[in-house]
Amino acid sequence: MTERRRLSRRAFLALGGTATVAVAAGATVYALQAETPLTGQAINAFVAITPDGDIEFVCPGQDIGQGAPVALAMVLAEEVGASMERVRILPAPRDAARYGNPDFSGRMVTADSKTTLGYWPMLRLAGAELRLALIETAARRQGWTARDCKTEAHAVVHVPTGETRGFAEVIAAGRLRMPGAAQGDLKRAKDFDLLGTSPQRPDALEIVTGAKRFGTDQPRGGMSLAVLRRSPHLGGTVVALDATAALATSGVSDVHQLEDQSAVAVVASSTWAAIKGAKALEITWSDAPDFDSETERNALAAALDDTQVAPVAVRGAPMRSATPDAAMFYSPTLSHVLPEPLIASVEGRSLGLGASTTSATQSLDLDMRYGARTWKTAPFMLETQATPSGGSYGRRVLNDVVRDAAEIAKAIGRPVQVIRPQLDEMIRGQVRPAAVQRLSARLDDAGRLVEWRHEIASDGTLATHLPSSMKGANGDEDNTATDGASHPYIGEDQSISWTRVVSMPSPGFLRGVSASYTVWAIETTIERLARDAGLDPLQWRLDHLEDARLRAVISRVGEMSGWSGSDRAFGLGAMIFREARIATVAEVTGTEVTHLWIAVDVGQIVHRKQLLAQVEGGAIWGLSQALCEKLTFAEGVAMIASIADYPMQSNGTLPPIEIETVETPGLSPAGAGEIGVPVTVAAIANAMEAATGVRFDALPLAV
Amino acid sequence: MTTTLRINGETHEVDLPGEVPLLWVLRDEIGLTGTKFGCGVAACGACTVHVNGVAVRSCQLALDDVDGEVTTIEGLGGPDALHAIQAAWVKHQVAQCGYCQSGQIMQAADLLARNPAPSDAEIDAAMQGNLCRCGTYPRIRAAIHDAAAAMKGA
Repeated sequence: MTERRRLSRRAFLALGGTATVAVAAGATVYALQAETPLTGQAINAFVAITPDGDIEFVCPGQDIGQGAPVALAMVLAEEVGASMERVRILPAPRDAARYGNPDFSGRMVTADSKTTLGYWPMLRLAGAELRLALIETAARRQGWTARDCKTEAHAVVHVPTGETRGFAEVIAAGRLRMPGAAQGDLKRAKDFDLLGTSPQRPDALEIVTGAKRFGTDQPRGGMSLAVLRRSPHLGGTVVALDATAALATSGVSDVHQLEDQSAVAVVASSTWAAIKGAKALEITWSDAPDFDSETERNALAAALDDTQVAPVAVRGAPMRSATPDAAMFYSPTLSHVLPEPLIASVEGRSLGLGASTTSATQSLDLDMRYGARTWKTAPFMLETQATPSGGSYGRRVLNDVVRDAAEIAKAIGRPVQVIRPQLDEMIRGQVRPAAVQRLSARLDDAGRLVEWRHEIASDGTLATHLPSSMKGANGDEDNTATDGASHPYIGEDQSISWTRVVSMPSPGFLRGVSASYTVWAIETTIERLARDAGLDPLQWRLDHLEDARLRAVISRVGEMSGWSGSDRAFGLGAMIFREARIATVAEVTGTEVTHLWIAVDVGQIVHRKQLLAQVEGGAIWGLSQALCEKLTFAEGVAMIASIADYPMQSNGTLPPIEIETVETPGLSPAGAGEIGVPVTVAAIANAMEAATGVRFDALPLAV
Repeated sequence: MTTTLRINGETHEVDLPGEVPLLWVLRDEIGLTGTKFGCGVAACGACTVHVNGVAVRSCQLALDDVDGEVTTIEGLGGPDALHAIQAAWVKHQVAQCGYCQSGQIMQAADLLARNPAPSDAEIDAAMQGNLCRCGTYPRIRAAIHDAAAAMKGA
């Protein structure tokens, strides 16, 4: 028998206000993090019910643009039997012990396609606990047997009589009885009626009327605004500064040089004054470093032959390519190009001993780390708050603008909001680092995959910024650099390895992470091997995959595209990523991508239209990576004068994109935010090779 | 220097230098934050508003050069009286992060005012300057067709 465990035993403090005072070991500690103000009876850390019967959902995921709060609310509402329009989504406070994502080492981070995946088990249990409490309370009062009851459409239903009691009615008589819930109490997938539908998001009207307030839209009150002027080249520091003209700019109040000399901040009463003041600074920068993208590409390739460095084993023992003509795959440095600029505000609290940050962020926990370190205080003295963000795509995880805001607010002794204009971020900010891969393999006489040698050289984002988060047997595998490399094909004699090469631009997390290029190298190698052997690359995959769900999506996308027996220029990309199975077929006519077909199995679908939107958006991002995007450096300088110089897929030239789902009810929902990217890059590269006969060794494809 | 502006049917007196872009007048001075700050160089379309009914990038339009009635997303239609384009956006669940959508909607409104039944190619041409990093383009196109049909029937 499963042990009954009530989620409500987790410490739950339904406190309003702005400060919690905890007394521990005789010392009084002021923790600044405000609790979520609830009006209802808290059932557990995640859910409360108001006297009107409305559900308050304390949402542990941030609103970073891909619908996580709505998806998580649906998971909870399904178990409760609640109507979505009666569910209020409230942001959880920073408290990793209660709200950390188990799939993210218990941290509060909304990223890496792990939000629905990670919170699924605990939110179901949290919802079931409320459902059982409502049923128990209603049954006791009505003289029903609890076992004869279910919840549906925001009411408790007595199945034998068909009588119903709305949640408001149940709660009206006082506090709920709390029987607790266990795994066996969860709803069965066949009884789901909310999951898999597409309820309207609560902020839909706000978005289309301009009322939704993102990070840059937050009311500032009297708070000053700062814009930083950073060096035009990588690694530049201030050698000489003349702030006379900046300080003479109307509206400018302060100029502050960052402690590490990497930037000068201009503080003003309005955004325009700060932007203008920052332009007026006269700064002499230290010399530009000797860094350019071409040299970096050569250095990455050379690292694969460097016998002084031991590569990190991903699968099998690291081995060099057996053949001198092993294929090379270069993927360039990429920029996120966030729609909404990075933004953070910081205000001193508790006589300056602590501080409060507000930011469009993907991680309250990491904001705390940046804020506390810069403010030189203990983490619990930092309150971190999140606002919705205008696109994140991984960039707001290492949300370093909080550090800028904390330093400036402390230096000037007043609250400040820092905004980092888009171009500045693109020139000097975080990037998806460049990578060189070398891959060789062959098919033996029976068509089996043998002698797989996949070597990857790149910088690592975790290795650079969060080394304690590295995984693998020796704690040296950076899964942001090796993600996607463990392919699903049956084969013998496999070696997959990664060599870290430190890069100059700061590595960050970007949608699709390394899978956008590792899957390209894998799928292109598979397709070349099959075609060279006179085999159908799609059929070869079906014959050499153990995973039935992946085979099913490949078969489906084959049917959708009319692959079999066709002489059109098709290319396929397939993978398993964050438990999702996905396959894309691209068609190229001449050198144009003229059609994309995608089949996807994400296990249990949560919000259907959001799933399709994420896969479609991912495919468009993949199209952009395959054909357009690269950030080139020369002599330490990013070769862009504006975002117009960074080519991206726009509305003009999109091929039709058809998506179908292969559904496996009852499984956990897989991560869906990034899966469209890597398979689409691979499919397009393969279709382009089929159409042109060229073997491409670099992205974006030179066509 | 005081400048008189007509914004969403209301008159505003603003005391700002004439070089200040309309974007910052709207956001920082008037408090209309529906118009978004994206690239700041008229390359993304997030700041699109109408001046005399024509879509312009407000980040590149100096206060001195504003010559006519300004309409922002807030003036296009409110929650209780949505413009047909806003209603189509809701119906098609166009938005992902939503940040670029004010600009997309204002650009689409300009298009439909000039061309009540645009083809796919005409939509693509008109909307090409409005970036959406989430990749909502296919739904934007569908919503514009839908809005065009609704406006024709109205």
